[in-house]
Amino acid sequence: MNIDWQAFLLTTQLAGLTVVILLLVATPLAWWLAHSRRAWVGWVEALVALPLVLPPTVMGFYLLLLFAPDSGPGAWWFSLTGEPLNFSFTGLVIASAIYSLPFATQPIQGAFSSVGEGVLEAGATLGASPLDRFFRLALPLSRRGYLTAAVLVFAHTLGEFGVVLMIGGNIPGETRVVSVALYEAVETLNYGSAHTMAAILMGFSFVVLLTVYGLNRRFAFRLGSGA
Amino acid sequence: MRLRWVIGMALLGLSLSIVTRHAHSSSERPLIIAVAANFAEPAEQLVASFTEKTGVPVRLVIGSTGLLYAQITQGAPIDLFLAADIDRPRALIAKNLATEQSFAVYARGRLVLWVPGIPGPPIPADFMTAFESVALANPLLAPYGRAASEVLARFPKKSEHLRLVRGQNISATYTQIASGAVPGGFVALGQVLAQGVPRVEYAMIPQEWHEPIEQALVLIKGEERHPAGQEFRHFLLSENVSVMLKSLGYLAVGG
Repeated sequence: MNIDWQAFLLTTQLAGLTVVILLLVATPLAWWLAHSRRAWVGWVEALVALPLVLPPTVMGFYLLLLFAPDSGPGAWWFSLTGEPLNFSFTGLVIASAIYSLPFATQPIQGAFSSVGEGVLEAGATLGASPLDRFFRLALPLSRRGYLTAAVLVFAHTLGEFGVVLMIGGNIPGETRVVSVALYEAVETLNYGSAHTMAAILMGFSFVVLLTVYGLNRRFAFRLGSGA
Repeated sequence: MRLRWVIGMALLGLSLSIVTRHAHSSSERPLIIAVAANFAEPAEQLVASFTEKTGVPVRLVIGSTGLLYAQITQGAPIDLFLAADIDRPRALIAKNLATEQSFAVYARGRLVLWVPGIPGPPIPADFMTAFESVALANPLLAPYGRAASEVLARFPKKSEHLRLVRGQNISATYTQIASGAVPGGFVALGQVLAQGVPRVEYAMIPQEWHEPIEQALVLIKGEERHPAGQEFRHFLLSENVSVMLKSLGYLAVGG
């Protein structure tokens, strides 16, 4: 029986990096969605939610075409770095970020919305600059939204399969994440390895979620007791 | 604040591990072989003895023939393609992505009817009348599935009532039968041999009942291709290997 530890490490790196990138990208996007009154906000909101609709393998197929080094964004990336996006770790990170975008944007947008204009206006009358209001008021009050976003994106990336299978190409140490290694074990009838890897993945994910929700409870307690 | 500490350590660990990941990846490039999932097990054994003989490190990329084909057309870094059929290698040649001279049939598969728990080898015609459903790989996607549907077509009267459970590929079909979800079905001889299925549980399907199940290979074109691809091709088509493939449930190809 062989357990692909490299795949576990790679998956953790991919999920961690996707969380960091998405929290940075989703913050301005969610702020804009929560506060803009432009008529086409709804269009952008719908666009952000689209990855929820498409089957992952279908989305993976289109990303495969989009990332190809002979045209479009893939060609631009290729001329910039000399490396193709398909079948590389970088490509996986970008694809995961696109795929999990709604999971980051929606909780943060919800948190921003629930902060309320009143608090921000009160801050403004006390002389807080717009940046101050964002970093000192909106951001701390939206902590739980960020936590939810981080957990959802992390978990979603751990379990991601279709997109990664399509554009990753199952290359050990580069794109073979746990879900793909697991699928391969089943495909090649190594049920023993498959069971073990699935058990480890479940156990690991459970511990991560338990830790995060434990922290979240303490958070809530502190906020409730007058933060 | 404890949370900040946790997040900080997580970020530090993440960035450290990613930096070292890239430091590792600059060693000598292995020969990369894309192999159809149904041939993964023999391929692993072949690769082990090839590396032992030549010292060339090999990396196997396992997937379905259709997916690997799509990835190769999109520039996947693959040197040699061991497909489960002959159509996809031909299509790569037609697209000028693989060299025509390198095309070769490296293995011929054998189809078996597997019925777990049966006291004696199953007889295809009796199986069809005795059961309501049968598992086979999707004939549109998998060569073994196409062969299985040709076998069923030989018994139009006996097989018309059968519910056909179509697997995505021959591995899915094996899993469906092994799990007991379907009483029996058509899988590859290589699979039942590799998994140690008792001889009484399966029957060899006569080869003349279906078109040959041929698996072909091609070398992928490109400046960055590994020179050892040619070497592995020779090795795979050699006499010794065809003897070994025979013991693993494939017909000798002779070449």
